[in-house]
Amino acid sequence: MDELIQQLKQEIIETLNLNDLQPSDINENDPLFGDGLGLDSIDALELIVLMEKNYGIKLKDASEAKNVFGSIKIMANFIAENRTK
Amino acid sequence: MPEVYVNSFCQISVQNPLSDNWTIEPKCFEGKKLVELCDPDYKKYFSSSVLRRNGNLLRRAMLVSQTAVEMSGLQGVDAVITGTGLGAVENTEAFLKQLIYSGEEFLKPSYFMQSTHNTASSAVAIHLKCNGYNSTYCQKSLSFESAMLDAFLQISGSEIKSAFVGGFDEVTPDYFTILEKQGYLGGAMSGFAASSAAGGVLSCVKNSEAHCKVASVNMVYCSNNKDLIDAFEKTLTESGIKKNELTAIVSGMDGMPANDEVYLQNLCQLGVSCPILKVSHIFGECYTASAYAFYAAVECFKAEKIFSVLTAGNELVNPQNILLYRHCNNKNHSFILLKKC
Repeated sequence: MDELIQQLKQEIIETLNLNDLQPSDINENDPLFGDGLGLDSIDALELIVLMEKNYGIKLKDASEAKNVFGSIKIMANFIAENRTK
Repeated sequence: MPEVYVNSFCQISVQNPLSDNWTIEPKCFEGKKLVELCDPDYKKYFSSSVLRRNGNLLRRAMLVSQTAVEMSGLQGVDAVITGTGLGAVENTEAFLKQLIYSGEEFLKPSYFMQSTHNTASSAVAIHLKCNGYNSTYCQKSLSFESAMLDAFLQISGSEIKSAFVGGFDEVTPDYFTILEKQGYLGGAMSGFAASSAAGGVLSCVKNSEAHCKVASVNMVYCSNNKDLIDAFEKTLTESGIKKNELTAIVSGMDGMPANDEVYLQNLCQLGVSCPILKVSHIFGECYTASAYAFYAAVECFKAEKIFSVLTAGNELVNPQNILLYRHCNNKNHSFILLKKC
């Protein structure tokens, strides 16, 4: 799981152009949106594309995405359980 | 009828950004075909969240607009009007490459959203918190002129009191290759190509930094010489000046023989005897390079002289009237007359 979390942090930094951040700067339990990383709705779209492209996971609706993107750790757990590649 | 004062105008270009150093020591790009813009350190101006979301064209547009509004002394503007040949080409290319290499799947939404032509105007409006009129003109080499005409008509017609007007384009290596094949840029005899980012604030209220006003803007489709001469004379009449009162004409000559020949022939037919200036050897050429011509003319009024780097000879002192003339395929022509104020 730790390896997946590190990989996910790196992918999020690259996908969302978070160039000022290192993986170690991101707390895996912090919320991705709002007070944590401060991501917004456009970032959510980018993360949905990332999940499908890298892990073969297609999110069905927005409410599901809201739960999945709660934090890096929640996201990693969801990927581990549902990934198809 | 309200006057249209140029209260500020600034640029990010191949020269030092947001600076007038080019008037004394312009960087030389002889032998280069495509030159990258000299971007400032945007971290000094924008938060990391703004930077990560916006590509180069948008960063340039936002910084130019922000600086122009600060220089104008206004709190904001009533309208944002820009011209662009093709908009945010870097993002368009990134999006198209994803389409090809990903089999039309997994496309980044940010590239898609920022690959449209009107991204600059909308980004500037959000950045300046301008909820008023917002428009983008995409008319090839006359895109900036079209934006200027819109702003001129709206301010002189009392529809608005102020507007940010700019010209923004990106010339990427791939895009340059295409334009070179078409013969638009990069000929053996021509100067260099470069992206563009220049703009300023026009207002019916003159501030202490305003040294000139837009006296007339005319765009015309000419099927014959008479149409061209009529448009030129209309420009002079609207400005209340005679032909011999023109201090200089800034043309769109760029070193391409076919293009320059058109300028020389047309200017000869107009019977002008004042110096013909060009700016493409300083700022490069692209669809909206005329925004730099406008900027250079404004700087001449500010300095009360026409710089020797523009005349390729002696300085001319105390310019009174500077005409900007540009054509597109010798069919569409534009005249913008700037007058000292």
